[in-house]
Order: sequence, then C-alpha cells, then structure tokens
Amino acid sequence: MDAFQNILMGFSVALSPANLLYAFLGSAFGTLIGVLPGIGPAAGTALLIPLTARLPPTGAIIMLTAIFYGTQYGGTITSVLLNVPGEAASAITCIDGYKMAKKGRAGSALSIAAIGSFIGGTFATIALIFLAGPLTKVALEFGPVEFFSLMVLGLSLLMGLAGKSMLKALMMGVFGLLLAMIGMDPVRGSPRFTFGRMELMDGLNFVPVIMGLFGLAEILENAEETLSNTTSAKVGSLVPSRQEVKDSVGPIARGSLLGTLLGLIPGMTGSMASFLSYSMEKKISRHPERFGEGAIEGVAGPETANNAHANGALIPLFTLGIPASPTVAVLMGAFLMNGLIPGPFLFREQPQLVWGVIASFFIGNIMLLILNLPLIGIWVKMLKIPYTILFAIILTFMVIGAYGVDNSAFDVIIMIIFGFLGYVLKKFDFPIAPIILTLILGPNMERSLRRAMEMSQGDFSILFASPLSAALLIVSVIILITSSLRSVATSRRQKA
Amino acid sequence: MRKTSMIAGALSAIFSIIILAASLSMEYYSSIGPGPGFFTFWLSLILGLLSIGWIFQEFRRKPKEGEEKKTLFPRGKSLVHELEILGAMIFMALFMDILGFQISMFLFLVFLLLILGKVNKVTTLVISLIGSVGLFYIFTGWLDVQLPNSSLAFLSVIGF
Repeated sequence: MDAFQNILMGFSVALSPANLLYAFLGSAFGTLIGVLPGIGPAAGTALLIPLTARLPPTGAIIMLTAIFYGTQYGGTITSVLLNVPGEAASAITCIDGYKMAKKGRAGSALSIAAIGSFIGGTFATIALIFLAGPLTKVALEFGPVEFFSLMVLGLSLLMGLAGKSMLKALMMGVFGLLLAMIGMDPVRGSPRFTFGRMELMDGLNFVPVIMGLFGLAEILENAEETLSNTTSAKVGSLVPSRQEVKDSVGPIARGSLLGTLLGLIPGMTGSMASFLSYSMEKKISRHPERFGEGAIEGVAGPETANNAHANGALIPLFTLGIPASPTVAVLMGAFLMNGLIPGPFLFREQPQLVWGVIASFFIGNIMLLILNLPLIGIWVKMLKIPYTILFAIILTFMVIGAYGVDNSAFDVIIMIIFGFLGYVLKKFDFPIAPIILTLILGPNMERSLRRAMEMSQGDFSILFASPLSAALLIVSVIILITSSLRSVATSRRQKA
Repeated sequence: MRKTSMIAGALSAIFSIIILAASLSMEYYSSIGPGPGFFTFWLSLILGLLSIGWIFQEFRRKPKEGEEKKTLFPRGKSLVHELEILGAMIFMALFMDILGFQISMFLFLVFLLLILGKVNKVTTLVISLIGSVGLFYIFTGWLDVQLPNSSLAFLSVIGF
C-alpha cells in the first residue's frame, strides 16, 4: 500500500505543467540523440547537463532521465532505416530491422519496437516501485565497508564484461580511479595532482571528460572516412500485421523481464541486454532460420530488453546509489551536481523528488510512444540532414556543453584532451566504459575505504568482518579470476 | 600496430612511475588510517604492473595478417580531416574568451561547414549565424547559461 501512496504522490509532482514540459523536452532530446549517429547516450546526456543547470533539481533530473531512456527509443530508427545503430544498444536491431525495411516493412518494425520499448520501460518502472522499499531498507543497513565492497563488485562486473581483454579493462578502471584522485583529498582536504590550477581543485569535471571520450573521439573516428551524406529508406505503413503482433507478444514479455533483471546487475549494459534477448529469441524460436532475414522477433525482443534495461538500471542508482552503466554514471553525476546524493537516504530526505521522478518515467514513456509512432516522420526527416552539417552542429553543442559546466574554456581543453585520448584508446581496443564508472565512483570508493580504515584503526580485515562485505568481495574476486581465465582462453583459441 | 602497442605500454608504465613518485611525496598513512597518498600509490603501482603485462602480452602475440602495415593514425585526407577538427576545437578553446562566443563560434562553424564539409555558402552562412549569434541569445537569455563576451573592449562595446 505504501508503494501505491508513494507513486500517487509522485504523480502529483510529475503532472505539474513545468515537470510535464521537462519530461517532454527530455524525451524529445533523447530521441534526437538516439536518432543521430555519432553521439551515444552517455555523451548526449552529458552534453545536455548544462541545459538543466538552472532548473529546479526535480525538473533537471526528470529531464535528464527522460533523455537517457529516450535515446533507447531513437536508436531503433537509424538501425531499421539506415542499418547504422544510433546507439550501441540498438546495434543488434540492424540485423532483422534493416532486412524488414528492405522488404518494405520498416513501419511495422518501428511500431513493434516502440510498443515493445514502452512495455519494457513501463514494466521496469513498476519493478522499481515495488523493489524500492525493500532495497532501500537493505541499503540503510550498509556502512562504509559494505558500500566499498558493493562498488568493488559493480566495477569487477563491468570490467569482467567489458571488451575482449580483461587486462585492458583493468587498466582503464585503474586509470579512471587515478583521474578521480585529482583535486582535494576527500578526507584531509589537501590538493592532489592539481598542478596549481584552481579549476582542478574540485576534481576533473566529468562532463567534458565524457563528451571527449565518447563524443569527440567518435567524431574523430568518423572523420577517417569521407564525410558523406546520409540517406534513409521509406517507412511505409506503421500498422503491423496480425501475425507480426502475435509473433511479438512472447519476445516483448521475455524482453521486459530479461532487461529489468539485467538492469539490476551493475556492469550489465543495454547492448548486452539486447544481444542476450536476440540470442534467447533465436534459440527458442521454432524457425531460427528466419532470424537475419527480417524476423519481427529479432526486433521486438532486443528493443524491449534495452528499454527495460534502461529503466531497470535506474533501480540500483535510486536505491543503492550505484550506477550500473556509463550513462547511469552520468546521471549520478547530474544528481551530485544538483546537490543530491542518490541512494537510500534520498528516499527519506527527498521523497517528493524521488517519487516525482519515478512517476515521470510512466509519463515519459507515453510521450516517447507518441513521439516515435505518429511523429516518426519528424525523426526520419532529421536523418536526411547531411553528416557534413550534423557533425558541425554536434561539435557546437559540445563546446557549449563543456564551457557551460563551469563557464571555463579550461573544460573545453579537457574535452579536447580526452577526445584525443579516447580516439587513441579505441585504436588499441581499450574499453572506455570502466574509465567513466571509476571516475564517478572513485571519490566515493576512496571515502568509504578510508572511513572504514579509520573505524578499524588501519586494520584491513574490517573488509571481511561483515559477512555481506566479505561475500561481495569474494564474488568480485571470483568474477575477476573467471573473466581473466576466459580472456586467456579466448586469446589462446585465436592463436590456435 | 604491435610495436606501437608496446610503445604505448611503455608510455603508460612511465606515466605510472611519475604518479608513483608524486604519491610518495604525499602522506601515505597516519594514526587514523590511510592518507592522501595511499590510494594513489597503490593505483599507480597496479597500473604500472598492468602496463608491463600489456607490453609482455603484445610481445608474445603473433601479429594478425596485414597488422604490421596498419598505423595508429590514418594518412592523407583522413589525417588532415582529423587535424582540422582538432585544430578548430583548439581555436575555440583558446579564442572563445578573447573574441567572445559569437565571433569565435561563427568562424568555427564557417571553417567546419565551408572548408571541411564543402557545404554551400548560403547554408554555411545561415547555420553559422544561428549557431553563433542565435545560440548565444538562446543560452544566455533563455537558458541562463553564461557564454563569454569578448575580452577586447572594442568588440564587447558593440555587443560581442
């Protein structure tokens, strides 16, 4: 009953005209970012943070979360029409979605994807409502030791799953943690690696770092190819056939459950959710040979799963204060910039904000359904903007985004440095996601560990004194070892 | 690429040694627990070891077919494109405060669209004006995001 009352209170906040406008703007910007190839959800969300700087915290978070889950809707459009994923989570949709478009069924693919995304997102939001209470109760029992161990688990999962090489993922994780050390020491307040620059006293701003690593790096990579114009296929009728609807029911139901469950696990990304859903649908299908030839199940399952994942991934952020993926880490950064610390205390201290934002997910998903079905034509027109113009517009917003965080050209320089670094790291096949997560989690991890050490007078065995902390650390070590072994086995197989 | 990877690994190892040395100048431990240098010491040490591991891994790895011909940076037109984009971004970072957002962004967009993108002159002019003057007024007037005016008196007097 508590959950019901809370969500009613949330709707009273989310349905205010101003918050409806923020949800709409977020949904529209999110779809746009998803539609435009060359800018992913993490960089896109970071890019728009300065726009929310002067908004009230509730409005800012409503808009930014809507941008985040909106990108998952928009990414489908380019996957289906251009065979180019607007964002990584929609990459798998290219296989059957584009084949459907070539057969003149792009409209059906987009309708089913939008409906599946809506159902997946709504399902995960309902899960958040019911899991919020029990999970925050557990999280309130956590001390610095347990929080440190939980963050270690999240990072080890991400590193274990990121990229082909465990060694490279670990290097990136450690590098991100070192970047997080820049600025004032969180316990003593003494400066570290600031090189006498006042701009670095508060640490590296994560917004220019993310825009550089994800956005500018991508643009530099694209510049290697000839800057060419984009073209798009015709959408056709948006009404799916009866058979297509029938074939989509199962994948949508399974995708909702799978995506939500994977969203709960730190380190699992939206692209993993859509990939696993695709594999699962292909495996259980009576006609697996249809996959790759334009099977609607190959669109319905993954698209539902990545949206359920996007909303599901907000569950650990809201209840435990742990970001599950780089884009959620960006959202966590936005919370912190607004003076809000995501986690169990936020439910107690700012219930109106938290439940207002959660209620806005329902509204945002309805808005996205409208934006992506009857208004699909607008986004298709956007795709006709030549890349030669598009990349200049993206770079303009990147400059404004980086400058706007602190009104400083220094942040633009930071973005350029990290853009170049991200470009080079991609060439060496380094995963970028661990840098972002550790950069944002680093200060919290250090603070928790050092508080734990103060409690134990410097005795490290405190990390294993609590059964929960010990279990989390042991699981982390197992994940790291098994991932390393798998990585070694893969490289040996490649050699053979 | 294998050789380049090993050089990159060596650079990463040197970077970690520099951080390690800097960590030693910070307090490592005190009576109440780890000091500011504790985390940085261990992290730089781990990064150094991982870098050595990467060099070793690359040394033992058999190069893939055609890999030795691959270079870190592209050549020819592609490299010029990348350098032009980076150059334009550096121009913005260095001149935004001096020329003001509107003039620097106008020049930035004209360069990207007309010279790099080969977009026609009318479209370039329209987009560059909207992207510079238009966005300046939208961001500073409506969204309350501060964008810089020129630090040169004769430009700031006339609204730039």
